[in-house]
Amino acid sequence: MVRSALPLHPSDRRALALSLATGAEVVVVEAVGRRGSAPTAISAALDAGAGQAWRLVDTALQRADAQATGFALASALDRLEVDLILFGDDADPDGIGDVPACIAHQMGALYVTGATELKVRGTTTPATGLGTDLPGADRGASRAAETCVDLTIETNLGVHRLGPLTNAVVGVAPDGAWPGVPTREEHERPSHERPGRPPVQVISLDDLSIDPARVRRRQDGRGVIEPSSRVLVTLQSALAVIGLLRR
Amino acid sequence: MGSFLKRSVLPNILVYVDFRGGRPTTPALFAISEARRVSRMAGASLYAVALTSPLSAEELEALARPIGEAGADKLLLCEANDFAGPPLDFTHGRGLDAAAARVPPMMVLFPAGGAGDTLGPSLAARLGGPFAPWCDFLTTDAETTGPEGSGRVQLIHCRQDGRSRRRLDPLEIERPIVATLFAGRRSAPVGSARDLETEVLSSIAPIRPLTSVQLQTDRQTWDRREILSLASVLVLIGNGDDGLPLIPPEILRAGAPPGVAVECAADVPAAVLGGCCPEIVLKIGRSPARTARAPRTRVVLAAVAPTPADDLATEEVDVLWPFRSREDLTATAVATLLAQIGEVS
Repeated sequence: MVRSALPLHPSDRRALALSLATGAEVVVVEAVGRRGSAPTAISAALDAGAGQAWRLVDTALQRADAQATGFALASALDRLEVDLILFGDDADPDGIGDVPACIAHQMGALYVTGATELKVRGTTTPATGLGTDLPGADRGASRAAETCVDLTIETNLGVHRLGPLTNAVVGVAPDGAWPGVPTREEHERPSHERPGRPPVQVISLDDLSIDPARVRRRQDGRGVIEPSSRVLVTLQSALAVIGLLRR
Repeated sequence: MGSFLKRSVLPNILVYVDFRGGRPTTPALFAISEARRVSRMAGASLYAVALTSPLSAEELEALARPIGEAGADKLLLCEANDFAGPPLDFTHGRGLDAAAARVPPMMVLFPAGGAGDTLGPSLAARLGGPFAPWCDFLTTDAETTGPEGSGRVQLIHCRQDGRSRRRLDPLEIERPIVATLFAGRRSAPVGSARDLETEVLSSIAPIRPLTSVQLQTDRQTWDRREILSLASVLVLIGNGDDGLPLIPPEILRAGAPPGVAVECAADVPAAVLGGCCPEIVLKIGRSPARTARAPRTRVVLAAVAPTPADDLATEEVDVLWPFRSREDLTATAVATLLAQIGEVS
């Protein structure tokens, strides 16, 4: 979800690399709440090897809360017929990650965070591709039908292996041993350097048959944003530090 | 109309209980005691929620007694073999759903260092409310004029930019708020040693098939992470120019009081640090390591005196403890601070 032209977040880059390493076809999706925002991040994802790029653009998304944004994105992802959804655990500017959870809820998918490794079980086979009523649907897509994955997750509670998983929304941990992570230099190459790079497809809520009034919320469920006054204090001794902490 | 809606909000607070070795963790008891404090102001009932494998009577007593002493009104207990594994949404989410269906909550609180990161967002999605990580309570008494908003109990969440925060008023939002708290230690038991009323929830949805969980962590790593994630004081040691830790961590660990975790910043994965939300972070030297940050969390940086070009704002430092040279920044100096810091948190 972007409200301005931002570079590809490092965690999103890791999610992309993790997906590409499995041999699956990767579709990147971006929700944009402001018309005219340059497709900076999504273009970088295409340059790094993503097979398709979709932007869901609608001004109604600008003030949508997590539930509404998740509903809109879940509708788009459902039409794209993807098997597994990855997101960057720490890509949210509020450090929350609630939109992916709402997507999982809307899609009836498993919600898992802290992924560090992804292994595909089964074979990747061409399947139905995009919903035929979306613009650009005739491009077709390969879909990992009947494919599931084993997942390694690392959290503050330990390292676990889950599997076999399918129909899941997976948060990618902000660090780890990543196979084939594209370097920053590769991402910063001008887009025309990758031959045959697919175009960025743009869809709106209308294309998904979603009434924008359903996306708008009366108030932001995340609360009111206020300035936070933080003052840096310099102290010269341990006792002074303790004295301050005791206040 | 507005006052009717405000009165109709169900004043229940649920606190998810993390436990280790059959006993509630320190942050879990802190979360219950904090919830007790605000529930008095909000006129709310406080329910602790524990999801466990089946317990014997003795094990239930060992689990329930500290929860009651911390101030819970009632324990909602979900027992299933699936709850013996790590707390993940597809196993434990069903138990939380059962608890929220039994007691519709105004707030659901998760303690620091536990399952809040994993279970909180999806629970919020199912309840249709916001998820707010690493919150603190903003409370006002009856005689004091509160901030904008009508509730006497509000939640404050620091944004990652460090310069702004979000304030959530449960009465204004009118939907259940799911939040995680920071790690602290309750000062003294606020409840009495009594038999806590326990209700066993039996209507739990079946687990989704074809999913297995396998623990891979070795015992030593598990123990270190447990100490780290539950700490109310976290000491993160940065590396010097030679690539070695500025102070050997084992020296500081030896004299550290309970609740204090000492780690080399470079050794802790960001995903693990992101689940830690201590009351005090003491950084020895600069490092890119970042923990979660609640409004009450204070970050102390002990480092060789910075130059004007050093941008401490990006490190989110509250207190700078400068040293004239690397030689002055010794284990002895830091240990002096650590010896007393346990009393503060």
